[in-house]
This record gives sequence, structure tokens and C-alpha cells, in this order.
Amino acid sequence: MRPPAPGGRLEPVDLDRLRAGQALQMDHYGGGRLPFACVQARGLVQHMVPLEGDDAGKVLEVMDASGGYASACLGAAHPCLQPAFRDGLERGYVTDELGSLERTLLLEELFGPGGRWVDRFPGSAYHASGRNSGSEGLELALRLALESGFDRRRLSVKAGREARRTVLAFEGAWHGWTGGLVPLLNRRHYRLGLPPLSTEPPFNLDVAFLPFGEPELLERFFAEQGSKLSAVIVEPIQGDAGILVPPPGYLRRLAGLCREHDVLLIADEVLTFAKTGRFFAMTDDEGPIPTDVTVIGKSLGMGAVSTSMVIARRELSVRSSGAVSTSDLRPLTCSLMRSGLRYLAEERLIERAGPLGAELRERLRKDVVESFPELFLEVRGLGYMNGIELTERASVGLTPLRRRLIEAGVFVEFMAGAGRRSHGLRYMFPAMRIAPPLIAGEDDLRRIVERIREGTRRFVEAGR
Amino acid sequence: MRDTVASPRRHRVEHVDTDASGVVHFSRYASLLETAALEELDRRGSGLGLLEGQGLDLRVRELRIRYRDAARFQDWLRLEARLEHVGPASLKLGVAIYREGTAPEPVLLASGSLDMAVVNRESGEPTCIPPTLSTALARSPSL
Repeated sequence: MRPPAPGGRLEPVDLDRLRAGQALQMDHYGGGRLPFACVQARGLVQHMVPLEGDDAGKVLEVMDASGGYASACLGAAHPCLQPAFRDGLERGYVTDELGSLERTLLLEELFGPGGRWVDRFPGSAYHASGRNSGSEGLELALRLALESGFDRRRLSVKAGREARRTVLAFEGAWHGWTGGLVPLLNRRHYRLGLPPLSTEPPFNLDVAFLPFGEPELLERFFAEQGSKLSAVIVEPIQGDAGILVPPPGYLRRLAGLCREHDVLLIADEVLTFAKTGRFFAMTDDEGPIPTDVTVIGKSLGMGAVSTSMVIARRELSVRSSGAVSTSDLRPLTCSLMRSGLRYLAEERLIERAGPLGAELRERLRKDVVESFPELFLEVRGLGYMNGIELTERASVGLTPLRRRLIEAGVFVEFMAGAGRRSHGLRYMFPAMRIAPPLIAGEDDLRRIVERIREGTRRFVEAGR
Repeated sequence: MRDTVASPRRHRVEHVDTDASGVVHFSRYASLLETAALEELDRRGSGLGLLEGQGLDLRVRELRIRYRDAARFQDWLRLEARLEHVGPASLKLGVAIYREGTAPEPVLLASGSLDMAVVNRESGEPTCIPPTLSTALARSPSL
């Protein structure tokens, strides 16, 4: 199948193949999957084909404002990855049992003397492990917390940690879908009907939830429950909750409370990694905010592979062979990461996202939210990680809105929103995520906003 | 809550306060900050004595000082403390230290803050401030 250029149409037989192909994949959206397929992509531009309706088979040129669940920081087919694929393949496929030249080059560049992240994670104090996905990375992070309370020699709870059987998580958070992580999600939709963590002592684990970004509640919780806590798991900016940015000082205070109460701090930076104008969102004006475990993912795979990395204090580890993974920092993945990270740093794309993101939010506020107050509530975000919260009315028309946006030439994703929160805080509706690849420049961002505005206008005009 | 009411206190620089170069040593400012902060709590009727009576104590968890100018032997200093924040289990006081002199306005020498956790006096464990005490602290003091 050779897809035609934008404006052209696929042959009916090819359209049927795409429809059949989509039907072969498990539908995780309860029948609400978007009826479009991507047939070609380069940079920010994707060639998409509607699978239904009058325009079925017509090739549309669509700008990507979401980066495939915010993972493709270099857009599609970036030239810096071509040699990385070749080099990575030639370095072998060794597992973590053996050393690897490519792995050494990457880890040295990040954590070795003078390394890119050595101000935050010096190799003398931290070590790293690779996983296949964000969920897997968070599973390992949680495992590290659990193992820290286990005495491997006596096969019992570590002396002095008997009372620490609680993990603090935040309302509206998303940390992944796997069995160990579901109990860390407070939304009934994600939890109900699935087995909870064991309540059977001595190896039980409780999860407590707090609303995110509320410093008073945090301090009170630690004063009352700090001695029972084993770990806190936090997204520095909540993603699925609708891009919730905490107030200044909140994350540093959280880190301080964890230190004072001898509690592990786990930062889930799977989504925030490389998007907020810095590599890590656990940062403020004073510099890096210390963590015991940090998990990064999404952009780390450069949109080419699915990967995550767990960076943890050296004293944290898993029992022998208890968390072995076939692809722990596989040389090919390391090669792609190294090449992509180097490109992002040399081109200063990370830093550029700070000021350009602020301009983007201003345009979204002016041209989208203020133009359609019946559909949008507010813009939130930092750098290239942004969200527009929908009104209740817009929340029920999500699929037609998305379709109109694609027809207007822009692809955005949506997040569930934190929903109902405790302590009398307001309900949070779903949010449109605008997290374009980092290669998007000022003109691209302007065009993205124009197309969001145009797609929304068509949605309003059509009554849906 | 933020409190803008300042309560000035005066302190004369002694010889023991100064270093070899004749100015007040940087470490002395921490002590001055603490003195001013504790006196401010006293003035609000919530000093260490009262806390002790309720089985509570304070632990400094963060001290910040920014230096702007130097003080010398026999200078008169003016210390202004204010209660910046009453958290569920912590207090934060801000202190500004000025030099009084011939200038029409006092000269700011240093400013900083003391962030203190409230702990149970017996166990040393962090604890919440009793509501009656929070209310008393939050009330604007009568000067």
C-alpha cells in the first residue's frame, strides 16, 4: 500500500484493510476509539485517514500536538535516530548480567563525572535500571520501597519499620495500569473489581490518599501519620488528573517532610520528563528537589521505543534476581536514548520549552478558552506540558470534538481529570492535553492553536 | 495567614559579637533572629513557656539569612519579627535586622526566617498545634 499525498484518497481495498487492521487490535476505549488511522508521519506532521463518514479514505495533513501520549519528543522519523539504530544494533543484545559498551556510554554521560544529571543523581549515590514502560518502572519503584522494609537475612519485616505499612499517593494520580499500581489510584473507575493489596500483616500495605497541591493537608497528614509511612509517590505535575501544577514550594516541602519523617520519596516523572522546560519537574528556583527514587519514561524512548528508567539511591535494591528484566538497558535502547538526549541538550530544546510554553498557554487562554467559555474552563501547565480543562457540557461531547479537531488539522489527546476530590475541593473535569513534541517551534505552536480554535468553531457550528 | 504587624526590639552590638575585621560575625545573626522570633511568640502569648505547659516544643527545620550590610561595635540594631505562617504543625517567623543611626531611615542589614516544626516535648515526634493555640497565634496582637 502506497498512501497518496494529503488531499488524495486511498483505494477502497486499502481503506478496508485499515479498518480490518484496527479491528484486530484489542479496543481499550470501550468502543470509543477514534475512527482514524495514521499512514505516514514526519516531524510534527501526520497523514491521517478517516475510516468512517463521507471523507473516509481521504488523506488529511494533521499536526501532532500530543506526541503519542506525550512520548515522541522528537516527532516522527528524526534524523538523529537513524545512526543510533544502526550503532545500537551493532553493539549486541546483552542482558544486565553482562556489561555493555553502549550502556556504559549512556550511564557515564548521565551519571558519571561531569555527567548531564550529576548535580541531581551523582553516580556515587544513585544507580539506574531500565524497564519497558512507565508502568513497569513504577512497579520497580514500589518494589524498592517494599524491599526497603524487608530484612532479607531474617526473612521478616526490618526491625524498626514494623509500623510503616502505608504509602501516600495523591487523588487523581495515574501511575500505570498493572496489578501493583492499581491500589495507588484512588478513582473507583480504575480500581473497582480488582484485587486490593493484602491487609494481612506483617507484609500488608495500606494506601492513603490526599488531594494534590494542598500544603496544609500535607503537613497535617505527616504530623498525624508520618510514623506509619513507608513511602510517598508523587507526580510533580499531575497528568491524568488534568495537568495540575502544584503551588510554589509544595514539592520541596514534600521532600523536606519525607526527610524529617524518614519516608522514601518516589517521583513519577514518566510524563513530566523533558517537558517542563527542564529535564526533571522535581526542580524549583533553588535547584533539584531530592528524591529517593525517580522514574522517567515516555520521551526517554524518543518516540521510537517504549522504555523507562528507574534512578534510585544506591542503598535501595531488590532481592537477588527478584526484578530481572530481559531488556534492562538494552544496548539498542541505550543508543537511542543517548543520541536523542544529546540532541535535545545540544539544540537546547528542553530550555526553549519554558518560555515558548508560556507563550503557548497565553495564546490558548486568549484564542481558545476566552473564545469558547461554554466549552473550556482554564489553561494549566508548564513548558510543553499543558492542559485545558473542559466544562461539563464539553466533557460529554469529547469524541465529536476530537473528530472536528482532526478534520481541522490538529491531533490532541484528552485526560480523565481528577474527578471528585476530598476536603470539599471542586470536581475536576477531563482536560485536553497539549503536549507537542519538543521540536515544535514558535510558528508550529501558533498553527496548533489556530487549528484548535478552528476545530472547536466547527464543533460549535455543527452543534456537535 | 500573613501578618504584617512588626514588633521592634533593640540590641546594641557588643565587642564579643564582632570578628577580626571589626564587623558583626555572620553567625551572630542566627542568634539574633532566634531571639527576635521567640520574643515575638512571647508577645503573642504563645512563647516557649506556654508551649512547654502544653507538652510541646519547637524544632528549627530551616534557617534562612540574607546579608546586605555590616554592623559594627556599639551600633544600635533594630529587630523586627513577624509571624509569617501558622501551619497545622509548624510556625514560620520572618525577621529583619536594621541599623539605627543618623540616616533618616534605618538601614537593612539582614533579613531571614525561621521555619520551626512543632513537636511533642516527650517523644520529639512532630505533632499538630492544638486549635486553641492556632487561634491565639493567628490573632493580631495588640501593640
